[in-house]
Amino acid sequence: MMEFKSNKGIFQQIADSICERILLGELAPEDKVQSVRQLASQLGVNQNTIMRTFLELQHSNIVENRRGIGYFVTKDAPDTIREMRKEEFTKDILPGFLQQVKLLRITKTELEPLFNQLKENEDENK
Amino acid sequence: MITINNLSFAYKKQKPLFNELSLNERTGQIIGLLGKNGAGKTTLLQLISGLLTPKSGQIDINGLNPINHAPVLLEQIYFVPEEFIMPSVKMHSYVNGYASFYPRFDKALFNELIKQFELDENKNLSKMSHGQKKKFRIAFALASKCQLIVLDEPTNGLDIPSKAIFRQMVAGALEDDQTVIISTHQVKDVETLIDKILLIDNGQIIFDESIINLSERYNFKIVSHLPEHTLYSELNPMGYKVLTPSDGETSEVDIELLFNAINDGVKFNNEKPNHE
Amino acid sequence: MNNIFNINRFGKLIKQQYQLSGKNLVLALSSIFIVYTAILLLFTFNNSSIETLEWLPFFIILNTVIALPFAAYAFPAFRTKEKTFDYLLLPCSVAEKFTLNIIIRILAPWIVLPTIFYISSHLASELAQWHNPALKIESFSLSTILGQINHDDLRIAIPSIILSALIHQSVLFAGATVFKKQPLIKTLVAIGIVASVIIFYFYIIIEWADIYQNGKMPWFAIIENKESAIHCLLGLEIVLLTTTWAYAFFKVKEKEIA
Repeated sequence: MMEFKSNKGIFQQIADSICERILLGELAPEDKVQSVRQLASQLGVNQNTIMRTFLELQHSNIVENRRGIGYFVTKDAPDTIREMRKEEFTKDILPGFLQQVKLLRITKTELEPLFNQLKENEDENK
Repeated sequence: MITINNLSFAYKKQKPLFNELSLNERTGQIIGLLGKNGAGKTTLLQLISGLLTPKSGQIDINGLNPINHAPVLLEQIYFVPEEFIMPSVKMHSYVNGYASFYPRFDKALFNELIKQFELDENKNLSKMSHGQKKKFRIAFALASKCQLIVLDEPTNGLDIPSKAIFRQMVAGALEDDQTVIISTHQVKDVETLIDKILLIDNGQIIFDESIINLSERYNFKIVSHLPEHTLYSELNPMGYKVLTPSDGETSEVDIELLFNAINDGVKFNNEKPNHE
Repeated sequence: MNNIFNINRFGKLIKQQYQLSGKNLVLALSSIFIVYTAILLLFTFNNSSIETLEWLPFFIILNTVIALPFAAYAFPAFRTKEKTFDYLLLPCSVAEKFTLNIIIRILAPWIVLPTIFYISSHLASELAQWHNPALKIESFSLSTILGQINHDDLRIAIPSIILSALIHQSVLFAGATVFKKQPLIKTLVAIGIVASVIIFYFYIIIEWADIYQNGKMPWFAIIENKESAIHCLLGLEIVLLTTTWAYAFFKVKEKEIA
């Protein structure tokens, strides 16, 4: 079962979790996403809600509908999602983060090791 | 699929339960029927299934009047009542006896559902616990593939794991031409499952709205301070549970909060006009 | 598909009845067999000689005692609200449900009960004779009994006797469609009330009002011979039987839960 922690609409939450799986590489471009029925039955969520999720994802070019076969992850899906998430991040999360940094008087030097850690991750990935 | 026009009904020697109630539901939805105790949820379901005769008004299911008990209609309706008595036979005898009446009965699906619910096919039905009997009837209902499946308080008596399985089964087993009506007090049990909310009170449908519309038009959230446009609020350990108009984001519908808001007299602009 | 009576669907209904109560049926028939045999054994062991005709009272009383309450408890689903609920929603027409109940509750006993009686009586005869070979027992046989009825009047009356038995069953059967709990007793009380009203009426017009005084014959005395009397009776019985069945049918048709 999926945990509905966020307060977004359920179809939005499911869309987010599919995006998450694409970013994590569990679903690669050109992969077939589970069918509406499978997802509905797995999550215990109404099929129309799942349909709505797919329409939303299709609208954002993250999945595409191949007639009669099902929904497939698009070639550019990971990039598209990253683009969307980045926008969300700078708009919704960063301001809060910066405000916390300010409130707690965290200095750049304190943050540096954390950023370096991120860099190491990147190197490893390469 | 379900059309009700100006339905009035009263039990003998009692004041009218429904007064000119009208309703129109298309095929292929899971409808959550909510209402206070005694609002007439079960009675409405029984009228729809032809178990009671209306005082006046018409009920039309797939073009047929249910009160005529036509077999062509009966074989497309499966009703799981809240209370029922099972005969003293093993499960497979019951299935052998009843399944053939339902032309679309899916034996493979039935076996799968029984497995999911961890029911023993060789057990005597009358010796099962109430929850097990209920799970059996729900499994039979879904396997019947009837166009109209009526579930009266289906999660009453189910243990906690079974409630999740119930949602998964209902969500996964339905075809496009099937309509499910679930009457319940346990809104949390069906919150993710239903397409729309139908609320009856004072003999009328006072609220009839799809979950997706609600999640787009309203925000249901928990906040520490009451926001400006609060439609309804309740105290909560974290602060307030509030209902506000949407700010553009979608929101997970909290049916309990919605129900309380409606009972508190909050008006929704998409409310049905037949409410006085 | 025919919505009034479909033979295929009727077959499913029979199968469903069998799946649900086949075991109970076997149990009930065995109990009847045991009770019949026990009673008839008492009869055979306590008599040194038995003529065929002597079986007849047993035949009539035992079968009546079983058949009448059995008819009075027709439509067993109607005894509780919950079962009525499921029964009404069972995808069969009223005619199909009604016909099956008529067959099981009224007609089938006419074959099943005599058969059991036949077997039980023969078993009882055999056992008694085996126990005491000196006994002179004529075993039970319906055809012998019929052959022994020489009285023509009685022979003419047989159809009307059978019809009258059917009417008794059917009235109790109709009662089962009306009364939810205790249909047997309630129907008997209802019949008792109706019967006493009729008797009281005749008492009033014949005895008290004495409208047939001065040697006038009562209206029912216009029938001249026994044969036409029997025919009148038959006609009356057929009307009564169909009315009872029609009444029961509409009661089932209008059944709802409330």
